Amino acid sequence: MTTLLVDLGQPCHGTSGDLQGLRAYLVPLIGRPFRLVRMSYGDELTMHFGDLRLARSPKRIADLEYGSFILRARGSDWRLGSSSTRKLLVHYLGHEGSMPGGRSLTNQEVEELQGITPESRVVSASPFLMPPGRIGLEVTLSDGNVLLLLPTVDDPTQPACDDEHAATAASLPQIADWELLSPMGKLAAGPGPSWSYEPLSRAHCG
Amino acid sequence: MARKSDIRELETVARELGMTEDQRWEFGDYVEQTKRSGERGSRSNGDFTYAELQALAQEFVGE
Repeated sequence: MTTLLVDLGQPCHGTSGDLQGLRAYLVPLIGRPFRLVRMSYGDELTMHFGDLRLARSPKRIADLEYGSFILRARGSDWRLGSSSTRKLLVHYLGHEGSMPGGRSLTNQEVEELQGITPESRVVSASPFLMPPGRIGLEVTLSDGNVLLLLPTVDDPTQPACDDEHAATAASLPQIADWELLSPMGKLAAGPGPSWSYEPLSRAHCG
Repeated sequence: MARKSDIRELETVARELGMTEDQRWEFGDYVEQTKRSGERGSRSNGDFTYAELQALAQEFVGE
């Protein structure tokens, strides 16, 4: 057993070959209480932990709460469920509409039905390697719920949309497969087999 | 169904306006709440075009 010193005030970059290093930057999430699930634009799953604050921005979202720790799925597939409840929320690329044994949910329904016990604690947060060279994440909560983030390749089924979208799509920068924002900084995994941590001052400068 | 391209567009628009990290995270919720309030975008699923996102971003930083 080794004791590590992790400096959360310094940036760090790694690859999927250094999941132990990545795991160290997830440690601050351990023990934090779950607060809420919110589906953001682009049907992105966000999970909020820790202390709550209100939105700092405009009136339309003035009553939305934010956790001091926020996990964002960035468009990756995900699963959320508990063996005790025997219910599973499944969100994956390429699937629209209903499937045997399941029904489609609106974003509001996902927020209402996510089933995590309020203030249950994060007991583990473990990255893992998944093909083709992406970094997934498993977050286990004290109420038995488990969140799996399963990064996917970019959506190959872009709708035949307006010319403007087609013109900009190729120039859009890549985004991470998932991110964790904390009071100390931002941890990002992907795209692909890499990860990075940026301390708060640099992360906030964008 | 989450679309990375929609999220990438959102991020790009947010960076164009020089939003801080906090603002970028809240901007996504701002656009989602806009959509839920009934203000739909021009795309077939009600999502917003790049230009519409740019207009929303201007509203967001201006409010």
